[in-house]
Amino acid sequence: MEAERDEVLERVAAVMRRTFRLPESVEIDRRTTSADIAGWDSLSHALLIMGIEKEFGLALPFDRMYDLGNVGELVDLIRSIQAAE
Amino acid sequence: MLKTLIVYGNCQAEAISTIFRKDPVTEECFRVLYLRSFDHPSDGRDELRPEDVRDCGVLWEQHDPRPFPHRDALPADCLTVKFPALDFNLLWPFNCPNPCDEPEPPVFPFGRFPYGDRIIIESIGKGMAPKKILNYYLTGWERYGMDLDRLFKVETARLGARDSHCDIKMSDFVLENFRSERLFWTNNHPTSALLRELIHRLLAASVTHEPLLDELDLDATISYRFAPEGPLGVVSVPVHPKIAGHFDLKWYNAAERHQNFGGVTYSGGEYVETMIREAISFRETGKSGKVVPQTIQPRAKTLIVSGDVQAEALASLLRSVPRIAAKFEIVYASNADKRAIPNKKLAACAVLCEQQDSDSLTMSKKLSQDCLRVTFPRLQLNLLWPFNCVNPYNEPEPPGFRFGRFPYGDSFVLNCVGRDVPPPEIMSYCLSVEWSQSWPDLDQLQQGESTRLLALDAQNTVKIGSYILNHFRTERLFWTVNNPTNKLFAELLFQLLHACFGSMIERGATDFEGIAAREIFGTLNVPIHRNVAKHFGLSWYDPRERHNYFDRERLSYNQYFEELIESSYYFKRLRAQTAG
Repeated sequence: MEAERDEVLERVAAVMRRTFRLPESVEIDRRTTSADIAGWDSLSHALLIMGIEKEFGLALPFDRMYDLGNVGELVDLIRSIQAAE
Repeated sequence: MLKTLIVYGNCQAEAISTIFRKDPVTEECFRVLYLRSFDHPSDGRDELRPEDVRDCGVLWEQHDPRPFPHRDALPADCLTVKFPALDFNLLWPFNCPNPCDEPEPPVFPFGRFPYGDRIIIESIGKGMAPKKILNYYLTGWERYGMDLDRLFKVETARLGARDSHCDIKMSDFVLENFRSERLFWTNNHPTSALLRELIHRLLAASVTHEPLLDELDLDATISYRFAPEGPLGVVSVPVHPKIAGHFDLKWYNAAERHQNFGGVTYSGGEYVETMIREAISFRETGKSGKVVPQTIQPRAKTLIVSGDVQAEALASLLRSVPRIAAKFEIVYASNADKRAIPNKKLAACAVLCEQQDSDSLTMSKKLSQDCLRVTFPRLQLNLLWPFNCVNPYNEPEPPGFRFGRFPYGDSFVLNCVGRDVPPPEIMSYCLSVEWSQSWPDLDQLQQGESTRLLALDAQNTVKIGSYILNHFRTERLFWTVNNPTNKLFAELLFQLLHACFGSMIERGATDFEGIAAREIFGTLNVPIHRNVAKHFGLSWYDPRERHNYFDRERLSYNQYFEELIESSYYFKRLRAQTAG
């Protein structure tokens, strides 16, 4: 279970690195928020959402995609959608 | 006392505050202050004075991760209206900060190409050649494109989510209109059309009853006081042709020229290619500016126009002459606030155009020795209105009549009013076919006016006095003694440009009709006495002409004088009652 959580987190982190052009040295964990990442604003968040949807082959619900407090909540949302499928 | 309005936010909030300061209606309603919500790369952040915050009647606060910092100090009755930032991913879905760019103030405070493109940046990272990247960008959509319909839905959710934090909602307007009307120059720079809608919504939410605002004409203010692209059109990023086609953008023009910082314009392809070359150069050398040479950063220099409203109109028109606007930042210095010009703009002044008799800037030690100094006269012709005088029976009634109903008096009529001559009798003189012996000698007047105008030519770089003398009979050059027609103003503009730039400017270069669609000073048209017209042989004179009266009515010759007499008697009686 824990290994699966890590895999989702790693894939989310990879999308984030591509979207925000982050070097590997920038750590991304469940507690990471938009305030920790340069360039993560509401505008670029839309592109992150699109990148996540493409990476995981799913559609995030509109009422949740702009209501996420940190990376952990995004990971949990992805997992809950995968579980429902 | 004016209500203090504080506008807090990014450059869009600054644009709103600038528009309000320049609009004749809003400047009478509000004292407008702007507070930046971000750190400007070269100008930093300004602060508000504590007394300004204490006096604040209305706060327009842009929704921002950094909220207005002085909320606790606002008075209890201050009305706060929260509005969203205006931005839009849909037309530039690959937008990203450009890592191969750096600020170079003052011409490029945000860098040369701060709006990066993910596809291009990634291609550069792979070591692709510039031409290959451009080709890939234009033809490789199938490989890198995204689901634009899904993006539309995500973007709709984003705009809606942000609106939910605000009192003013804008997503409905953006999503309904982005196809039919251009609403953005870049992903975060709205056009004037969108700014205007936001301002109207802000006003509707802030002001319950203010009759002055019925007169508000934002389009006129924006078109007159700003460059054609509006306050935020300094950069226009091309939209990918695939995206324009997918969303069926009605306003899209593949042949459009795109303005960038520094005043340089590019076709869509040139813009992308120059950005690619700049970025590659930056990666290789660590410095920008290898591709866009220093010689085409002309707006580092300013062209200052100083003087009264005629000078302000000249400055506005100069901003609309592409060749000049691309070369200089045009700065207007009114007689009242000349000291407000920042030192760096004075120091960068390459051309100073001063209206004669305006408080001289030429003594300023801040001006460069190389600065070209040109003087031009205030346009005025007394000859056609020999009775013109300041009207003592006139009072400002803003906003419709900011200078009163009849600011241009007629000494004969007003003397009659002063002596209580009955209105029908005054009218009979106004309509008289004979020129009374006691009235001014028109030949003598002409001699004096010729001397004055030729003396102006001798004193100024721009010689327009002789032009007036040679043309006033065959062409209408003035609406009032000091309000020139566009015909004359176009000549002044041309002569000014010629004095500044010589043969670089040919007569047709200004396309005056294109940049001044309506008469700039034609809001009031004072009738010319029939005998004056006859004496000087004015070939264009039409005694049946209707006279524009503050853009409200068009009055016949008789109506104009009847109204003048009636209005003058009204104010005379009013004053007598007040004094009594």
